[in-house]
Amino acid sequence: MSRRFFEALIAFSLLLLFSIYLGSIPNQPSQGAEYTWVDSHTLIENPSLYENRKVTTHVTITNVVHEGNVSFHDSKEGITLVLFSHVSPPSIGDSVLVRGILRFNITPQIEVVEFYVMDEYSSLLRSIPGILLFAILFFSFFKIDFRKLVFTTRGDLDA
Amino acid sequence: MPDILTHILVGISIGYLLRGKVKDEISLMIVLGSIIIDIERPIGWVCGFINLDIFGLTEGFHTIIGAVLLSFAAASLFEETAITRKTRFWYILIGAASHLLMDMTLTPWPERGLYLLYPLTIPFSFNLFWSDFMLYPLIGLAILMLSILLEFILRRLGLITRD
Repeated sequence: MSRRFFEALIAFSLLLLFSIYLGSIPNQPSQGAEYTWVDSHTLIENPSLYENRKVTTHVTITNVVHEGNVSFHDSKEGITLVLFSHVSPPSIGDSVLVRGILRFNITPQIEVVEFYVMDEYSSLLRSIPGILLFAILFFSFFKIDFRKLVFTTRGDLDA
Repeated sequence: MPDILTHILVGISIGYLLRGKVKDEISLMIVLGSIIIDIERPIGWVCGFINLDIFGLTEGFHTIIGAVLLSFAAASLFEETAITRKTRFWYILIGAASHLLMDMTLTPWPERGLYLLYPLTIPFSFNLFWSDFMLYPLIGLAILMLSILLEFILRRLGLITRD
């Protein structure tokens, strides 16, 4: 069996596995064209512009207060999320994408319709294999010329 | 932003398809381009560390203008050899384009997405995966496998030759 055929066989097997996997992905979020993305800075600075409108934004939870079926989630950005009897509300420290309706009392509040907790803390950790792979690849071809402050090709490549 | 590993795998895939046609060094320019746009991440970490607000940087880098500027900047970091800066620029830009394409598969909510045509704030997104989707590298791996398969088929059909 030639090496090429073996490579193709592996490729085909992995593609098959991948197709099966894609078919089993759980529900993806629905399109939400009626919502407007507004960054939390803008919501804090000009809440009246978006009052009673459907907005999407990104906040980090700093405090949670439960009052019966309602829970109030304060955020680092200064926006309070109001959740009505969600089974699993976000916790303190969670980075959350929310869709909801903006209400403006003393502080901006969002009545949450839908939310998603982002796992941003693992971002750096997940980047490590990629950074290592790139560093190995890159520095096997290039080195730094500190005199000129440029990357130069390693000599043996030109041979 | 998918993880860097996925972007690199896609860059390697493109480089693999061009194997034999271009020097390995050029293929590596594509790999470099595939991650150069995420340079905002280490910048963001440093700025976050010193409490500097860099809101909007991600949006700025993940645009066509951002890709072109970063590709030019990256191409300028190399010593001029037989491979010119212009050549490096184009191959880095190919990698950067693959980065934007992969980022568009993400769904940080459909109404967000990448502002590719910045300063026009029209969001682009294929709305397929969450950015913290743990198995995203599998997609990169699948693309790599697909490129190996494609190269094999093309070679068998005699459409490409290898040295």
